[in-house]
Amino acid sequence: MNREQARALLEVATLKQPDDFDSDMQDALKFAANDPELLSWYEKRKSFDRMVSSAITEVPVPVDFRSKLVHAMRQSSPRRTNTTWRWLAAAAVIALLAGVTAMWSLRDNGGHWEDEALTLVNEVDGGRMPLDHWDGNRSAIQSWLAERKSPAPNSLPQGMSVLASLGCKIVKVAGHPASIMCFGMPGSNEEAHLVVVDIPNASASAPVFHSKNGWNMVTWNENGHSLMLATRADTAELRKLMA
Amino acid sequence: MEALPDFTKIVDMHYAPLFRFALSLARQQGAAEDLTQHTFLQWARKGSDLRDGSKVKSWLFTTLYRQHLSQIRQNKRFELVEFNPEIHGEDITEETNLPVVDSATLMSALHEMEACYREPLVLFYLNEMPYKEIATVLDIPIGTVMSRLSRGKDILRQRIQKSASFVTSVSTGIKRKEVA
Repeated sequence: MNREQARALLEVATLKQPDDFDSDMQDALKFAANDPELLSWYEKRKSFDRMVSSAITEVPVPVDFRSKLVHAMRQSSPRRTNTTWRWLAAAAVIALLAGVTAMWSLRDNGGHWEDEALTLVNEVDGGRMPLDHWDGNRSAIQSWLAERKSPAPNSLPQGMSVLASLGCKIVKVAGHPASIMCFGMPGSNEEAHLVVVDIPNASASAPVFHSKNGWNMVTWNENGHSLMLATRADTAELRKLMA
Repeated sequence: MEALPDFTKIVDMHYAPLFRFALSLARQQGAAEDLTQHTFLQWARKGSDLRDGSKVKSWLFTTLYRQHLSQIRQNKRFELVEFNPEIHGEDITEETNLPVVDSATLMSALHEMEACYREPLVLFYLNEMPYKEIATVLDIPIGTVMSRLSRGKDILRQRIQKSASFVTSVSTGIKRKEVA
């Protein structure tokens, strides 16, 4: 190896520790160790590289970008492709909703809100209804909802702390103000959606698990709110979240 | 061979450098977001074909770069121009006192550069990507990567130096006006 060859290699040496370099780079470093002028040049180059590397990693990335990416990737996972029956099921649910909605004014607002909530969840989960706000921080999502006077849960089961927050949407369920908070399930492509409906006369009740149209759900009341957590993950996973 | 990580981990590890690389290519935030999202969607569909987890980074950057080239070909907005010092008249000088550069100044300097220098430079600085891996991502010979990195660093130094000189002369001019 001559000086020019060593210099050409050191020019493209990354800022990693020398131990991480390949054998060519190691040879170039050894050569420079015995050539003070080359070593001095190399130190100046590294100083420049450090400055540029630091500046480029400070280029800002949009704050909600990560959540958008994760959501988009979950929607495009293989489970959601080539599943005609899911579209048919979704169409059936929408048709059902149309019927439910038509009858809704005749019904007591305290019951059957789950069907409408599940349809909205289905739309959000399928990417047909975009979220209003993206954030990877659950507290920030709750604050965002509170600022807009949209309902947020007073408290959540400890098991839900493993969920990765994605974002939220403000909706109405059975004519009541409601929010949908979306989460990523740990270790899978599935999402979990928490619907919080503002129902002033709702009194606290224990969780009830049930399944419908490929969704596993749990519904419960806390004071002033009716809640539904829905996921396509299996019931055992859902039960862990409610622990 | 490393196992493939969970896709949320892949997003966490790579979305910021991929976005910054996309921004250096596309120069607009929206276009950079689209390029990055397209890359991850490709991963969601085809990533499981990759067996070696250590190649995820190269796969993502290669996919993003190819998508960018594909868009350029479709749009034909501009073509890649190989820098030629004799034509472009750049002068290589080694500056000893380089000013500290912020991210906005750096991106501005990078955007002024020819794509053939900007692309390997951004990969080099963003990820500490080795030159051999850069050659794979950009699909150019290793020797070409080495010469473009070397030349690109010289050009970048000069651009940063020039912008610092401009800022200094402008601020000096403002001070003179204030005194007068």
